[in-house]
Amino acid sequence: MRVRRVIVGIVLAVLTLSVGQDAGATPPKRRTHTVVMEGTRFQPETISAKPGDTIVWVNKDLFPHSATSAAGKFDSSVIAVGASWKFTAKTKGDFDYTCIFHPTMKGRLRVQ
Amino acid sequence: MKRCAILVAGTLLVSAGIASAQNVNDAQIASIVVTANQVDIDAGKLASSKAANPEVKKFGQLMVTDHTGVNKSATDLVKKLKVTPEDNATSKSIKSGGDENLAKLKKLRGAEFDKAYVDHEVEYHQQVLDAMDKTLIPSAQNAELKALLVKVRPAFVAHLEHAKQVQSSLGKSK
Repeated sequence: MRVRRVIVGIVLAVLTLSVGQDAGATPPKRRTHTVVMEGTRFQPETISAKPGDTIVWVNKDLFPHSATSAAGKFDSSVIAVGASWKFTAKTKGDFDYTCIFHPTMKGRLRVQ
Repeated sequence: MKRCAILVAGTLLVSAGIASAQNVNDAQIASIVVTANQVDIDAGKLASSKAANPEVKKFGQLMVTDHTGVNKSATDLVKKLKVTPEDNATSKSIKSGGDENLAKLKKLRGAEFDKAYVDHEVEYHQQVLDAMDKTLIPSAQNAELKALLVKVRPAFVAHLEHAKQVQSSLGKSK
């Protein structure tokens, strides 16, 4: 009895999986990644994401920052102290970015 | 030449003040931090209105914004810890150095002003960093005060690098 239940369970699971794959209905898992702006740095300096993922920059520093990339075509403009800004990655590639106020702050968004 | 001598004298005065500041207590550290930030806010305000070069103007504005942010955190913490900032040789020396710098800058115009302001910013940030590393961070007793200093330190490094970049761009534009 117990064995049959397990078998039915496995068959159902396999069916669900294959149907999902056939129909392309399983949505890709979209993750959210966080970059903290603190100590006049982006932490982590390199963040890896997949297309469709969201990156959130959180300013935990004592003054305003930005996450700005000409290559990645994103610009948060001013992120005030305690504020955050979201960006959804679309295109694959390595995108260097900086803070418009602090040119020594360097970060990289890696979409793969 | 005279200007140069005044600058050197001012620098030595500030260095001497900071160097002599061994064994400072938290109340004195609070006063040093607040004074050091205020001095750079005042110079930044002058530069943001008087600088000829747009990069220098922008840098001045950045100093006002950043050091105001740092000072807000410092004064909030000082209130929370119920510490009354205590004047001392270092804070007085930083204040008089800042006053001398302002007096000198007010007499200058155009490219001369820009150069003098940026040169002083490079020296100032280097001196504050030295003071943080040699005196302020090692001497801070309260853990939150020490943590604030540690958190603020990279901003001074970034400002120093930024000031050097502006300084070298001014050198090239001549």
